[in-house]
Amino acid sequence: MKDSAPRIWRMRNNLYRIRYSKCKACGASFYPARASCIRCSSRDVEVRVSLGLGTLVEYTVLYQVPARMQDNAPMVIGVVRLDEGFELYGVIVDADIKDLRKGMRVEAVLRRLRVDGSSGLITYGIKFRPVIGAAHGEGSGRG
Amino acid sequence: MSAKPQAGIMGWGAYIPLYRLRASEIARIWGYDDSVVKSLWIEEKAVGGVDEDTITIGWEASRYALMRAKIDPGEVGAVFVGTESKPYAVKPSATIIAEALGIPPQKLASDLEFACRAASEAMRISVGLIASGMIKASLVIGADTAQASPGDVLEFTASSGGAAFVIGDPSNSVAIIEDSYSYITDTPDFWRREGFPYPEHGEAFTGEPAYFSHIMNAVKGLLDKSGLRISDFDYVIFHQPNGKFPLQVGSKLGVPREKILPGIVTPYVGNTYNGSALLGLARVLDMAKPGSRILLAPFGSGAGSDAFSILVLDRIEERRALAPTVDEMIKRKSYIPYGEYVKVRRKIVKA
Amino acid sequence: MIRNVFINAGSAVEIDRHFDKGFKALALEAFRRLESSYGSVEPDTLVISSMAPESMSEQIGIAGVIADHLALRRLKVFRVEMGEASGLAAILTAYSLVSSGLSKGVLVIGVEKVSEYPVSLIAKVYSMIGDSDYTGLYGISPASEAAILAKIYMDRYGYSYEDLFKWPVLMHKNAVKNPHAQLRFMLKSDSYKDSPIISEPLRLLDAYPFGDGASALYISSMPGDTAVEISGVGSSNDSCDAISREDPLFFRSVRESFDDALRMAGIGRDRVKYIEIHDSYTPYAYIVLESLGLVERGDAPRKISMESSSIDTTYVNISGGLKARGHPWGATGIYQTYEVFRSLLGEAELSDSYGAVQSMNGPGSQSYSVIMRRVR
Repeated sequence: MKDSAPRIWRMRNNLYRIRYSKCKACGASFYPARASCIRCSSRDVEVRVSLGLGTLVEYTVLYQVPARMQDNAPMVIGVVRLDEGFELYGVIVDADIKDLRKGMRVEAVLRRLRVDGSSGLITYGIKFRPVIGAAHGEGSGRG
Repeated sequence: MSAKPQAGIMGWGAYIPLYRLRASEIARIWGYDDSVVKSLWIEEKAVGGVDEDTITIGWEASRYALMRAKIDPGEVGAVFVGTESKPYAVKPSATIIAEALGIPPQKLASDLEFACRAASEAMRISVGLIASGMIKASLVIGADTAQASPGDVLEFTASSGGAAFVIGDPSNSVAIIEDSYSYITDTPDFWRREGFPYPEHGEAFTGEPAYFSHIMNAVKGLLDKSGLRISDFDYVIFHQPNGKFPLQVGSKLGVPREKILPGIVTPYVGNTYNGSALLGLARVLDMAKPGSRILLAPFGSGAGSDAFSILVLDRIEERRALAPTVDEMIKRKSYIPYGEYVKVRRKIVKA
Repeated sequence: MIRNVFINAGSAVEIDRHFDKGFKALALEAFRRLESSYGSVEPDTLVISSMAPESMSEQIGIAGVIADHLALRRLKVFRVEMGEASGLAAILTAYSLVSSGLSKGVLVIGVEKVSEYPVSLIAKVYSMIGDSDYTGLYGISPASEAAILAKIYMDRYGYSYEDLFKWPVLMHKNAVKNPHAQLRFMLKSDSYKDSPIISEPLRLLDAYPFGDGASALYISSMPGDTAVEISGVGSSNDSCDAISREDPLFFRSVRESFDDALRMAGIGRDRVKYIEIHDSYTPYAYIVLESLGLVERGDAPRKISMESSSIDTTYVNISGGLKARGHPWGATGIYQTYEVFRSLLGEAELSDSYGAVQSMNGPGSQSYSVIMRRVR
């Protein structure tokens, strides 16, 4: 099945940045964004955009990579704790497996998620990689 | 100076992928003598990862440029991507990068193609757009995942990387674009046909009638137009298909080596095509003191060259630390063997 | 009026790579075996549980196609799909149809064709059980999530990988005695050393095998000569991913669904003498046992021994579990329920006690529990 152009178009805001929910009632932040708070059930939640800087909390090296992602094998799948105070699963790139460690600072970057053959669409989205140099500026995921 | 400055560089950003392939590894695989590598002055080249392309490289460089420019993406009125390795033959890279950076729809956005100098032309276009008052700021991106036929001498240098610049209000800039000049002819020194993955080139023909003639004419045109002399410049940056050519053209123009060397990046990261001279500019902006004057002369096959006179302002000091430097990215590296290179650069035909 | 609900009969087809059988042939085989063991049934309702026939067999409306193939007519026909938990969700559906009086006799068939494609494609389809926009699209597979939870578990409770590997060894030992199990061979305690890593630290032997299967149950309002009564059912849900929860090592929906089923049955968990749990990956066995409240948090690997299939006085996964009996996705819950049904009828030791089934989709993203006991 070909990748759907409407789906990729519709999802672009969620693919190109990390949109999470912040509960105004209890203060919880969580990902992915949801209509109500997953902690206190308040409907008073707002969607925010993360600056994309965080810490690697846990990770695994995935060898049984699903179809259409096999050029990426092995993939590092991590749990990233964003500085805004929520955790998510993310693909970690540009890190030598032997250099991976918990507590490593990572930042959100735009990468190819998958490619639809040689004539279909290319889907871009957020992955994470170790921060380059010292911690610079305000991070990514702007606007 | 000839005219009142009308546009400046508000921010700059560079991106060099993590992976490196040593020139000696390519020579070993394809049976080149070491002297070939030495004659090109190329040590290693940057290789984009399996999930990287011109769009992701352009996004990275742009993000850093916007951080240094300290402007809201909403103020960017144009996004130009100079590249000869578009992920889509039809569908702009600029729209994807702009959307991902949060630049709103009220803008110009195009991919420009003129071999290695499309982004350079985008700079001149941007100066015009800003000077005319049409837009407030322009994002100019030079990025490539440069193609080279396996085994071709081009493979020693063709690399991945890019640079981006926010061109805009001179009163909020880190450097002023004082003047510029272009020189363009029909010269078939290097080309790639539609639908074919690798370029072809005229070997020695890419030198004198192409690279050297166009850069020298552009630089001389700029000097004549502006009244400036080579000695007025503290840094001189040329397009750098290898390490040797920029030194040779500098010698012909009477530029001392020490003014050229700070802007030379190709021996360490390869020729990033549209990013080539612009990465050199980014590296010079990383170090130049306020008051320095920079001569920038990119070249693109086909063929043409632009020459720019750029004056560095005091504001540059406060913007440098806002994003990683070119040297930080040159030092960040991981060596890969030739086999991994052909995999990640998609040179293996799969079902 | 709420009617009592009974399981009258059941069957299971050997789980295997049935390259020679499609879903219709597998469903028919399960139906024939059910009738040959029990006699002919006259269902007024057919409920099919199947997870991914669209992806694996290019089939929508699979229940209608199976009904036609079995030449059953004048039926209410449904397909129930809740990912890996489809089977037990189908049992809850059948339960509510019978207890409400809408149906008198429900034929439930769980059927799945898994081994139609190369492993990478099967892994991709299985990756759709979560929130695809969040995980599947990025290549974040269920195996990688299980691996991350395993590492958090080992880190928090101080276990090594070898400590966790007891579970697959025990499951393989149990499966040898199960005639319809897919992996009927013993493992040595260090077999993992030759097993390829699928997502570090988990190896192929920590994951369920890919196989096809079909299992059937006849559920009705009539107890007949011998029957098992469904005494309690429960269901609950949680986030699709485990990491956004307050504690990723506690599957809240598993506890809630089990507590609901126990409450409905009017018993404490100590009355459950046999349970089949959802152990798609080694760490999930331990997390599920702890979430069910059968062992203390962090104690499960210590409580499991390679010699015995019981925790205290409760038998766990006599079948070999998803790990070794197999996990033909949408059919699994039917297999589990059939196994408990068969044991309650056949094992004298269990004749006066309760059996239970726990099923879930993903890491406790959606959960179902069923409690049953022999009544005749």
